[in-house]
Amino acid sequence: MRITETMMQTSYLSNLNSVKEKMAILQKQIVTGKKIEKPSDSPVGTSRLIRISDQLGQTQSYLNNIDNSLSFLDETTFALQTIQTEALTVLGKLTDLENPLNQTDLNLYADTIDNSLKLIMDVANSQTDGKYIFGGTDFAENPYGYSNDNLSIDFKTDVSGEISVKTSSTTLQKINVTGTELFGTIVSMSGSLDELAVNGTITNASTSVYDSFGNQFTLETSYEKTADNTFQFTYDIKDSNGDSVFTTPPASQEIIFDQTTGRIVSVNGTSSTTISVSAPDSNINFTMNFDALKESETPAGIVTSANQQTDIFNLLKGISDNLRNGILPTPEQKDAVEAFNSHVLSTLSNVGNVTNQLTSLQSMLNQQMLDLQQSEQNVNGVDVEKAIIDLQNQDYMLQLSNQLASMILPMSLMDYL
Amino acid sequence: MALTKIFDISNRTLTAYRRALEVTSHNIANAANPYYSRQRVIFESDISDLNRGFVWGNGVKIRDVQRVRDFLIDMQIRAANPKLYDSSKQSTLIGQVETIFSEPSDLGLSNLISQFFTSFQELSVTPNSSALRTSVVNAATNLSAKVNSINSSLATTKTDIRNEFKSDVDQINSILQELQTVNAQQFDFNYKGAPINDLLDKRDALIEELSSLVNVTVTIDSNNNAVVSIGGAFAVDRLYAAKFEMVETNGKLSMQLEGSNAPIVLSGGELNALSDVYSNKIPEYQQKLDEIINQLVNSVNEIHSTGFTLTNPQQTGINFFEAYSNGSLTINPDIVRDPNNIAVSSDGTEGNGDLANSIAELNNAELLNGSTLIDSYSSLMSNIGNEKSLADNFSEANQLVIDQLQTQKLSVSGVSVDEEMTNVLKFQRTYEAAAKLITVADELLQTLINMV
Repeated sequence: MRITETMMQTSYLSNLNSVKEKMAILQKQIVTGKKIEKPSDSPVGTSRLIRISDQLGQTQSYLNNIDNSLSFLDETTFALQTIQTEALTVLGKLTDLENPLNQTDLNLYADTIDNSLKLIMDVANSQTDGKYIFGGTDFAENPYGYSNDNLSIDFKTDVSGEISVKTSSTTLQKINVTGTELFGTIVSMSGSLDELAVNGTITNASTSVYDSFGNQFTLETSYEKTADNTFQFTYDIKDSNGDSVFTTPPASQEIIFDQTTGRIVSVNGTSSTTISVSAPDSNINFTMNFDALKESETPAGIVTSANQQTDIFNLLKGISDNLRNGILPTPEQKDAVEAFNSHVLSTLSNVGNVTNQLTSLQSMLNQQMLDLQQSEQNVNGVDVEKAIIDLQNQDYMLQLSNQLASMILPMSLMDYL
Repeated sequence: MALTKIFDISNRTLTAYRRALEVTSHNIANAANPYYSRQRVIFESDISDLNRGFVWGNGVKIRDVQRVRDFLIDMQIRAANPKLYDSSKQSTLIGQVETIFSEPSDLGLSNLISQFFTSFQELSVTPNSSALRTSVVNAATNLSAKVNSINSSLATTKTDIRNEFKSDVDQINSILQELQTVNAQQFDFNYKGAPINDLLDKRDALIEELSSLVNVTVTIDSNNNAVVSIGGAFAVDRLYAAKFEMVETNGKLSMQLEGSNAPIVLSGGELNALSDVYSNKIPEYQQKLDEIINQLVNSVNEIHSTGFTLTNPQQTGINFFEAYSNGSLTINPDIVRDPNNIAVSSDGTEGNGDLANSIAELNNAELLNGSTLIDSYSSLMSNIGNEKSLADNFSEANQLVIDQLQTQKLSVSGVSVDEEMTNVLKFQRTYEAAAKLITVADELLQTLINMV
C-alpha cells in the first residue's frame, strides 16, 4: 500500500482528536462531578435521574411538611397543657368550695375561675404560623368569644375544619385538634338501622341537648328509608314546650350505607360523617356524628347521646356567675370539669402519638433521602480517582502522539537531499 | 545512422524529462490538496526506424499524463457520504434540541414541574400563608417561563433549519451549475486535445460536495461527463443543469424541481437530516411536550376551579392557568397580581388546603396513558437522548467507513512527496545523461570536423 504524507497527517489528526475528545470528557466529568450532562450521555440514566430528582423533591417536601407539622403539634401540646393546668386549677377550687370554711368569699373563687376561663379562651384563640390552633380551618376571626349580650360564650367560626398534610405519597396526616373535638358538644348516633325495612319505614330517636346557659332541649331525629341502603335523615330541636327552635325546619340529609359492610358511605353526598348544628338564636351549637351508625339485617335500634351538656367556656362562666350570686357549684358541674380535664389529657395523648408517628416518619424519610441521593450518585456520580487515572493515561498518549508526530511528520526524502 | 540523430534523441529526451519534471512539480505543489489526484507520466519508446536492414531506436516520448484514480472507491465514497452527513447532521440538530430542555439539571423542566407541585403541597400545610402563595406563583412562573422558552427555542431551531435547508438547496443549484460548466469545459478541452485531469478533479470534488448535501446517483459517460440525478430527478449533464427549490407541504420540508409539483425523495445527506428533524422529530417532541403540558394545565385547572380564593369577596370557578396555546403557557393574571386568588380551599375557609393537596397529588397521578407527567416527560427525554445517541453511533460508524475509503483513495490518488522526490532524482539524472550525450555527440562531431 502506498503511504502518502496526507494519509499520515489525516490519521494523526484523527487520533489526536480522538484522544483530546476523551480528555475533554474526562476533564468535564472531574470538574462537574457528573457523568451525565445531557440525555444522550445516557438516555436510560437521564430517565432515572429525572425520576430520582422528582422523588428527592417530593421527599424533601414531605420532610418540610413534617417539620412544620411538628412545630404546630408542639404548639398544640403546649396549648393543651396550659388548658389542662387551668382545668386542674378550677377543679382544685371546686374541691375547696366543698369545704364550708371556704364558702365565705365566693367572689374570690369566681375571680379565680374567671381568670382560668380567660386563660383557656386566650389559649383557645391562640395562633401559630397564622393558624388558630383550635380554630379548625376558618380563620376569619377569633373562634371563641363572648356573645353580643355578654351572657354566653359562642363559637364564632366553624371550628370543625381538619388540617391534613401529606407526609408520604400515600399518607395524609391530620395534624390539628379541631375546636369541635376539644371544646364542642358532639351528639353521637350509634346502633343500626333495619336493612330489610320496606321503603317508607321511619325510625325515631331523641336525646337531650343544652344551650349555652344549660337549659335543656330535646333533639328529635328521624330516619326514613327511601331506597335500598338509603335513608332520609331529618331532625328538630324542641324546647320544654315542644316548640321548635328553628323558624324553618333544617334541611333533610341523605344517608347512604355500604351494602356489604353496613357502614356509612356518605352523608348528603360527602364522605364526611358529621353535621354541624347551630341555632344561634337559642345559643345551641353541637355536632352530630354518624360514625358509629350502621345498617344491619338485625337492627339494634338507634342510640343518640351527647358527650357533654355544655362546653367548658359556658360551664365555667355558669359556675362563676352562680358563685357571684352566692350559688355553690353542683357535683354535676364538677364532674363536667373533670370530664373535660380527662378529655384534654386524652387529646394530649393523641397529639403525642401523632408527634411520635411523625418523628418516626421523619427518620424514615431522612433515610430515604440518603438512599435516593446514593442512587443519584450511582447513576450520575463520577469515580474521580478512576477519571484522573484515565485522564493521565490519555495525557501520556497525547504526549507520545505529539512526540512521534514531531519526529516523523516533517521527515521526507527532501530532508536528505 | 547519422551522428546528428544522437542530438535528436537527446533533445527529445530532454523535452520528455523536462515535461516529466513539470508533472512531478505539479504533483508536489498539490501534495496537500485533498481533491487532487496525482498524475503519472507514461513514457514509451519512440517508434524505431528501419534503415539498411538495421533498426534504429528513436529514444523516448511521453505517451500520456494519467490521472491516478480508482473509480470504484469514488463510487463507494459517493454512496457513503450521504449516510455520514445525514447522521452527523442529525446528531448536531438533535444535540441542539436536547440542550434546549436543560436536562438533567435543576433548570430542567422536570425539576420545575416537581417544584410546582411541591409548592402546592407546602401550601396545603398553611394555605393562608402569603409567602407560600407567592412561592406557588413563583414556581408556576418558572414553569411557564421554561415551557415558553422550550417552545420558542424549538420554533427558532425550526426556523434555523428551514433557512439552512433553503441555503443548502441554493448551494445544490450552484454546484449543479458549476458541474454543468465543468462537464462542458472538459468535453471541449478533450476535443481539442488539451489536458483535462485537473478539470476531472474539480468535477469529482463537486460531486463529493453534492453527495454530502443530498443523495445522488452519478453516471460517468464515455465522454467523461458526469450525469447526476438527485432522488430520482435528473439534475445535470453536459448540456443542462436543473434548478431545485425548497417546498414545505403540511409541515414537511422537501425539495422539488423548479416548477414541478413532485417533491423528490430525500434519503441521505444533510438535506435529509434537516428535513427529518424539521418535519418529524421536532414536531414529535413538541407534540409529546404539548400532551404533558396540556394534561398538567387541564388537571390543575379542573381542581383549582372548584376551590375558593382568599380574596374578599371570595371567588370560585377560577382557573389557575389561563391557557396553553401556540407553545405559550400563561398563568391567570389575577393570580400573578394577587396570590390570594389561588383557590385551594374546598369549603371556603381560610385554613382549608384540601385542594392544594389534591393538586400536589397530581404529580403522582397516572394522567397520561397510565403514566405520571414526570414519567412521560422522562420518557420523552430518554427518547431524545436515544435518538441523539443513535445518530452519534451512526455518524461514528459512517465516519469510520469514510475514513477507510478516504485512506484508500489517498493511497491510490494522494501525492507521496518521497515518491515524487525519487522521481525528481530519476528524471533529473536522465535529463543530465541526455545533456551529457549531446556533449559527447558534439565532441564526436568536432573530432570528425577536425579530421577534414
